[in-house]
Amino acid sequence: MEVLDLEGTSYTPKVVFDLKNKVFEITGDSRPEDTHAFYQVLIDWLSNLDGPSVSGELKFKFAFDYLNSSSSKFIFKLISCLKDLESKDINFYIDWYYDEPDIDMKELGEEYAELVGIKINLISVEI
Amino acid sequence: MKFKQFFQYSFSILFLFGSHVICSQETNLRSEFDFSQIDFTNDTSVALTGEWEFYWDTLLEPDGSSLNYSLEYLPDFWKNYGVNEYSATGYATFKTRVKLSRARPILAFQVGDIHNSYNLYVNDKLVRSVGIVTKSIEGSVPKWVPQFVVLDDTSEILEITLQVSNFHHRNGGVQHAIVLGNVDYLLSVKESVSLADLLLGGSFMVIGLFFFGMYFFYQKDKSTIYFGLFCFSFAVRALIVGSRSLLIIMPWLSWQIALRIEYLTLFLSVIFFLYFVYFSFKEQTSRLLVQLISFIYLLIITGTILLPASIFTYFVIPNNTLLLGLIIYSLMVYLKAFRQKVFGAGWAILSLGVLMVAVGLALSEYANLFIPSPILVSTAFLAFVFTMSLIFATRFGKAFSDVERLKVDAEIQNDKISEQHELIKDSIQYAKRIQTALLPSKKALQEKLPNSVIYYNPQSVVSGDFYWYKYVEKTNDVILAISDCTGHGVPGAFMSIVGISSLDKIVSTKPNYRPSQILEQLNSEIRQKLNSDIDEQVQEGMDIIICRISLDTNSIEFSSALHKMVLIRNGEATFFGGCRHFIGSQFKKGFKFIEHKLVLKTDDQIFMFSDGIYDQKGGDNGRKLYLKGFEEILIQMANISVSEQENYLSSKIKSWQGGAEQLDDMLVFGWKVK
Repeated sequence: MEVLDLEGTSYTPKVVFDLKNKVFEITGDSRPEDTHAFYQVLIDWLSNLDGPSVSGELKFKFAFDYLNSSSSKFIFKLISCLKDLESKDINFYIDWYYDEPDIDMKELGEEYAELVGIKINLISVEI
Repeated sequence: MKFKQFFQYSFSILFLFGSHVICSQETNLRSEFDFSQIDFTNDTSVALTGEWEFYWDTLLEPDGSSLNYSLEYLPDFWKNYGVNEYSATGYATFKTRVKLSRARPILAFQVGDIHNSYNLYVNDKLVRSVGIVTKSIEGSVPKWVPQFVVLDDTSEILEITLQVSNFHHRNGGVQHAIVLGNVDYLLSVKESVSLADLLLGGSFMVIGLFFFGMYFFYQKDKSTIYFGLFCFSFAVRALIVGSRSLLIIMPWLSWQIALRIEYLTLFLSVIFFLYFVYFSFKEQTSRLLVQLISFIYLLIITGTILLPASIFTYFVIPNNTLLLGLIIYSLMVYLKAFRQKVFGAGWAILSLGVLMVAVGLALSEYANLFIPSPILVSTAFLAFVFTMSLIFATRFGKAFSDVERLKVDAEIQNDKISEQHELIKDSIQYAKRIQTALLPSKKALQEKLPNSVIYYNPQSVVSGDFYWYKYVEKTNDVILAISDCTGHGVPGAFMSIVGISSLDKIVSTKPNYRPSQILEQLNSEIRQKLNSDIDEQVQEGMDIIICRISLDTNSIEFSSALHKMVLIRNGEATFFGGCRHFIGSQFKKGFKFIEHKLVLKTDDQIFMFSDGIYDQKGGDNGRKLYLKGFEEILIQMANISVSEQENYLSSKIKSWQGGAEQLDDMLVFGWKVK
């Protein structure tokens, strides 16, 4: 599958989805003008993941610094998409990074875990 | 320049040597030029072209004599004499006699290149020595500089002895005819030749430097640097051949170095020209061919630097073939470019035509057709380079007019964008009036709910955050909502209108609903309004907290989707979290909103807010304020009187934000119990 590699801007996070090197990362700020358009690309990419072509365990890293409310809704959808990977027999786990004082970001991770019914590793980053 | 004189000079060379005679003395024929009938008073000169006595392997003194000679034609290289009799290297003496009228003006000899050193005697007197003539390579010093020798001998017969030796060049002998003529006339000829060389060299150098400058400021177009280099090396060559002006300016340049420069500039001119063609018409030129020719020239140039002159001077033979091929190839490239309508191709073709004329003029001298003025030849070469520079002129001209057109286009677009921007701005401003009208006024809220405060600060003109309240007279309750819709600006504002109208509808029909019931109803209203398919997960919606404040009992019931409520009591903050479903989403089966109830005491203060403030980046490190920082501000706020709280919060946020951009809408509601 083609590598998805989006440079980060002050409005959109940096995204790397690279099946060959097993790197799946979304980092930075997310407050796109058109949140739907931005996240649909990521969701489509994940939906096209073909189970038999994936070997080993995939690690997804989410490390947001800033999230606006509409982005948080689409990330919910994205994580729901990850949940669907289970039915394709793809092994993966999710690391959710948050700055140690950012309780809201931590709670958001917990919220996704609870709402989607998926295990999310919450990783606190000292600042 | 005196063109007339030049043509006289030219024709004199062609026709006047007819008076050359060979007379018999003893058993051998002797060489003699009889010019006694020629009147040298006018602009007249004669060339000592014809057969001279040639004494091979002998350095004959003027008074010496030998019978071991043959008659050979001058100018020529001695390897062409006889049938392969003479090697290129060696030494020899040439002798002749010149008969002149006694009544004559002052005459002078003009001596061109003689390979590679010589002594010239007139009668018994050594009149000029160029380089050092020797019998072996040791001590031999070659030198080429044109010589002008004024004749101070007045005798009727001049016995001319020319000793020549060559140990360095592939050719030995006399390359250019020795010319005898009126001193003033020959001087003027000499000057005009120098002038022509300087004109050519100087002009080429200036053009070359100009294009260096052009490349310096615009390095994207590599054809400019190669054109500059071509002109520059051509200029150096023009100054080092012909009248050899460069050697007159720099006499310390050794023959070996000067000869290398002469050859290197020739080869480099060709290679620079090739690259000029390549970079000017890249799509029409074969890269492979350019690389091949470059490789050959790399060998030739390296050889010229490293090998002795007796070898590298042969490189001129492959060069001439390659040069001819290159000219034909560049014509093909130009024609192809012309057909493809490449800018400047027409001028390129013309430049080749002019080059042909220049080369034709230069060659006509060798072919003995006629001798063109040196100035004419220089001018032809200049015209060639000038037409070549027009290739650039047309391109730059086009580029400039393109830029101008783009500028005009950009201005038109700019105006259009400004106009559209104004229109959009106006319509958003109008939308703001509508949104403001939909939001309750702070004053009205404070009337119903004394000691309350609202801080409302949209990120742009219209806001996705909104507050809403309703006073229920029957129970003396205030129902209040603080909401953050997905998106900010226009999309957020649309959502806020959906929220406000839904809340109005719900509360007016069900004034006794508890906050959790309102939230449930709100969720289904909004999902219905947004036509959400039951199976489809919708991302549009709102985070919201709804509270019901009983003014009679100072108690508060609240329920929240994602928003928090803070109670500040005695300087300490207590947070109450909301449920994790947002309004607009599909709830899990059996989901119920949690409801809190607090009984408040005097001086208790509650706050409800959107995430805009605590997610705002700022401070020294550009980090978010976080809930922690916001909590501190809220505790301070609760300490001061309600009337000052809004200003206090506003200044705190401004100082935190500093120069950073506001990232989201900001909304805070506070109420202090009295």
